[in-house]
Amino acid sequence: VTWLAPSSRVESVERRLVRSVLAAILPFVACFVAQCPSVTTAGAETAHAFDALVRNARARSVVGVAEFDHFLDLGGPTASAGLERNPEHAGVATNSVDDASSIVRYDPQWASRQLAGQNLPSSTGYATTPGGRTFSAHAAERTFVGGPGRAPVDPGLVDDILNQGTRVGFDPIRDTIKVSAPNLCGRCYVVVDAQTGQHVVTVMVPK
Amino acid sequence: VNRTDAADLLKLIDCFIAGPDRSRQLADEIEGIVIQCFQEATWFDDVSTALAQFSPGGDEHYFDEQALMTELVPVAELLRESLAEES
Repeated sequence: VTWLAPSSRVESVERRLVRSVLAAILPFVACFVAQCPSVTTAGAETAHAFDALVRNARARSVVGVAEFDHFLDLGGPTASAGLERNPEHAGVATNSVDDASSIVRYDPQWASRQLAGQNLPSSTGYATTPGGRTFSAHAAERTFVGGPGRAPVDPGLVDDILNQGTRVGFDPIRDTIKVSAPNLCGRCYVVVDAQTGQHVVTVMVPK
Repeated sequence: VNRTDAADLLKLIDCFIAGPDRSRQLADEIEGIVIQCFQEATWFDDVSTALAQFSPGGDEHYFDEQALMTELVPVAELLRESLAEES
């Protein structure tokens, strides 16, 4: 691609011919590399598209599709949870050469708020239960999205389990407390950090 | 316990123990069967907690792959014995 950029003011006829031919076939080469169905860009956009597609293909082969998707703002409910959006790219798919500027460090507090639907402008910290306890991103996902094969849980139930639970267990290795409430919801339980008892580590409510 | 459920669970647990797939997705599949079909098992509390608190790589308050395997290995042995007795 670098080679295609004009390096002098006067281009030979042969060079222009080669440029034209390559510009025409490059989208199809890129398409083959990236295994995408079609590419409609042409001309000056070709190099751009090629770079993006090759980088996409490389990323897929290195880190896998699911992980790579976390680097992109795909607009899904959880795919980009925890990634601070570059304001310039908000709401826009960033499968372009600008991807690098969109990659940011994972922020569990942001992820927690995003999963809980509490990511309002200027909001900070973890998402909270109606009772004011904080959700880890893991607990927020299991509460607001649902555990494996299970429906979302009312966040108020998390408070109820902690307030009215009848069985308590301490895990010294992970420094957590598990509160079960068979009186409320069968085998359900909530695990909180032992230091404060206010940070929800995980939630399990059978359907 | 349904024999098919036990066989399915054993297959998934064996897969996790053997590796290399020790992903959250596989743990979620195991948790789905445990929660749905094994709530009366003696090991339910410990194993479901480990699965609910599993985070690949571990973290301050979470089970890592090794800690989860420690919980899953005895369950696999129990399931294997149970299935062998029935056949």
